[in-house]
Amino acid sequence: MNSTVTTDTLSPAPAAVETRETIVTTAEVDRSSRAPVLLMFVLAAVWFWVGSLLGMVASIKMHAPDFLSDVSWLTYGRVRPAATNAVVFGFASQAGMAVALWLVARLGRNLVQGALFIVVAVLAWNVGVALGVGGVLMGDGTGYECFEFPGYSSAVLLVGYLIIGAFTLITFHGRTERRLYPSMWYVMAALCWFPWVYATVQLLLIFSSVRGVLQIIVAGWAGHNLMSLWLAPLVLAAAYYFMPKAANKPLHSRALAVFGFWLLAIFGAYGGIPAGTPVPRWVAAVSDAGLVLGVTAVLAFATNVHLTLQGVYARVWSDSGAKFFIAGCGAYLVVGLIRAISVIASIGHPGALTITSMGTSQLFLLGFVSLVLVGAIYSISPQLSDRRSERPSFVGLNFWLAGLGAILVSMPLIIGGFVQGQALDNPALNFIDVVRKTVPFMGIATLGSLLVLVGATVLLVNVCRFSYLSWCSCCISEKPSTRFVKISGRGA
Amino acid sequence: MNYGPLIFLGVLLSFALSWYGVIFGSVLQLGNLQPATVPATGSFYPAARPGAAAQGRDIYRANGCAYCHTQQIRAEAEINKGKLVKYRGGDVARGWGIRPSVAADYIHDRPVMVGSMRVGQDLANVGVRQTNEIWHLTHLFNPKLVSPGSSMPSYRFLFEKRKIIRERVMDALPLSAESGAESGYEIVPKPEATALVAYLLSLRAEEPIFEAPAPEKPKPVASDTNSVPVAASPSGVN
Amino acid sequence: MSHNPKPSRRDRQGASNRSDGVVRGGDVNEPVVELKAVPLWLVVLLGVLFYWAQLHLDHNAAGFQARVYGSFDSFAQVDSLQPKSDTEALLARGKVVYEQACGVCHQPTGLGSQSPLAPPLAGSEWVNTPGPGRMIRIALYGLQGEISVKGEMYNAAMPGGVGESLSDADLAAAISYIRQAWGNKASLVSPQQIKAVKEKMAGHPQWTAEDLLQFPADE
Repeated sequence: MNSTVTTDTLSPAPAAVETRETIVTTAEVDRSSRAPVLLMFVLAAVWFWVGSLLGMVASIKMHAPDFLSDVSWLTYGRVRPAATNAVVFGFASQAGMAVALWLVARLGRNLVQGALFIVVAVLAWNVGVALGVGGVLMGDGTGYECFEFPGYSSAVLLVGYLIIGAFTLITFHGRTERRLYPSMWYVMAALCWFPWVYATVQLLLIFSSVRGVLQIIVAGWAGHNLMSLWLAPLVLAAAYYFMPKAANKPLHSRALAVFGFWLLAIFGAYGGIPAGTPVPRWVAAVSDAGLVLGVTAVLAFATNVHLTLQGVYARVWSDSGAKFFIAGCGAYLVVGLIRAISVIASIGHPGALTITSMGTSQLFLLGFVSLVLVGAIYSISPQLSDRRSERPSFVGLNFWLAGLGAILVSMPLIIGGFVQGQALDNPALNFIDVVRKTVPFMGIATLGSLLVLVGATVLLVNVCRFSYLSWCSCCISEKPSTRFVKISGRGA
Repeated sequence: MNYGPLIFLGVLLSFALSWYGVIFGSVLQLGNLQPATVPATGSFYPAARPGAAAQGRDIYRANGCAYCHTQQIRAEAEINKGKLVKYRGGDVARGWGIRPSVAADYIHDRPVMVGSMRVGQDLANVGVRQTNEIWHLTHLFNPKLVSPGSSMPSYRFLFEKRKIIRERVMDALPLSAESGAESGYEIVPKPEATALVAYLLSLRAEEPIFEAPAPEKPKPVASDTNSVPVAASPSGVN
Repeated sequence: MSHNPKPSRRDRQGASNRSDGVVRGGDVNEPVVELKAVPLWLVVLLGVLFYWAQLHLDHNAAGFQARVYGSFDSFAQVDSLQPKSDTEALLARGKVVYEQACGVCHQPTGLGSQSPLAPPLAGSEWVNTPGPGRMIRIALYGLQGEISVKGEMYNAAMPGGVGESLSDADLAAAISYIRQAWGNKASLVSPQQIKAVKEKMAGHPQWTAEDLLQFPADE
């Protein structure tokens, strides 16, 4: 990324571009997306911080069970889902939607439509998340993993989403650049998958309820799709956009991107119901088959990125922002492979119910989703501010905190889960001793979650600083003359 | 891939396939699942949970017990010459259950909380393993009192510490002095704790049913222990 | 899209954006994508995994049947593993029904009682008949007047409706139980037999012993 300081707002429309459509400049696009995107970034960073804090509390409880156990709203079974949901809905979904909006405006070369409505909807979304996290802590969680938010908050969330999604689509519809870069496919697909998944959960689980194990099937299916067809495509869109930019090369192959996209669309929608679950055998078999076939989508993406970066890895790695993308994509590949391998290994021997599952979902959320989104936030927010010379501080530090944190949170759980699985299969071993074997792994995971929390703090400070700067430039960019008035006014 | 509507159509179709296959397909198969008649007793299995246990399920949900405790028995059937010899697997060996869990075990529950991680014991049959209400209450109050070395947190917020007015009330926990009981005070379970224990005691899923039949050559003793839990479950809970 | 073989007007527009080199307000250059083929190994891998998935579904999806769980292979297998002796289940059920509906008078031991007066069922010639027709009739519509059982005369009245209040299956189970318990050795009864008698005899008053003897013992 360059760091040219410009005062583009004063220049007329660019002369180099001429078609029958009115071409908007990048600066105009960015200005139109500034308010909603930065607002979402700030609130997402807040939720990431809250989620990391709750996650650390939950992690401590895994090896020190009586830590804060006398407070009903801080009991493990409430803190854990509150943390996950804060990260999934407060941070990842929100930051993902912000990145999506910005990408649609940028790649479609169109001003963000209905920015004011989006801002209102973002506030609604965050009210929903706050109600949801609060509700879970108060004991109103629904009991379905990943969808613990009680009905009164998910309704608000859904309304907020529909407005944000609708205006993103309107922005997409009015694009002046008709060619669709791969990121656009992912964003559009994610935008139409999410309401379907979320509405299915609300209708079949929360506002009314299907019978018996059908709930497990719906919740497992939806929980998988929330990750695989909502968060993943949003994050992949960001990675597809920023990777070639960081490498300063074109993306390696359009055909491969198309291939990977449809593999994800077709196979990504199956999963979340492991063999051994008390559901009819075919449901788990279909879910497992989809999960294994889905690894081809992961490989298609990873190959595309690898071939793009081939030869320039060292140069790209030296960019502190691009580190996030490389590491994040690596985590995506690792998660996909671990899941596929463990499915194949578990055939004929139903997988044990161990902490490995928590480890892989943490690696997905903290390694893949969070790293790429934080990288995207760091890459986008300076462009939304008119003071482009301003760089976020401690980005390298943030990367190492977030990256090491993600590894230290997830890897001990994944490995510990295998140890636990072996021990569970040995009935001679007392159950308490089985649990005791996992405690050291939990301890390392707590260390990791501490790093994640510190990383989240750095992010929060940076994002708030940028928003403040942008807010300043926002109020002055229209009329340069007022700039001095305002600044001097503040100085006085 | 430059044509927006085409992408939308493909995206919707591929997703609809999964939705119809997994969600709609299983709703068609299982949406109408009814309790089975138990031949030996003529009663229905599973019986609906009695009121207190149903309230307890809400406490179980609210406090997220399912994040550490599963409620699903996994076991492999060992079939020899067309006969079911026994069920194998760590769960059966640990005495957590005598047969794998199947859909019918959960038809009365909302939400169904099978859990996904065994940081604590499986609870699918905890009402068979441990039928003592006082044990459960003491365990909730402080797990280490009855299960040394346990890594379960205490749920003291489900109990009330009260000054003993004249004499201990009936339902106060019988705690000894060395277990941390303060003299002059008594620990009384709140209604939440009592309901939660009623729920735990109602967790019994050992009745052999069509989907998980009992192994062959039932010894008379074994068949007795199989039928007792279900016959006793309505009375055992209240 | 520099490698696009068919540059369109729109491509020129995109190209001009990139080629003007003027960086206005940051990088105007949006990423582009080259037209390279999908690597062959990935297509092969997809084929292999697809084949694997089909095998997997063949072996592990249990024919997409509803009531197959865990490690069972098919519905037919689960069905074949059901406890073989339906008889045992029937008799167990019959015992429960008998003890609730009949046991008060005839006693759980089947020996009958003096008060209320009820003849024994254990070893009774009325029970150990080749066919259950007479027993079904008694159970459904009751009996009055003198009756000789095991050489003793009883003048008891059994009310009608005892059997009618039960379902066909339960009554069949109870009569089967009576015909097999306490040393009795007679055939089992099916719900269809109960139903047939019900249809023929609907609303019949209480029987007398003579009425009953008009029906063949092997019915």
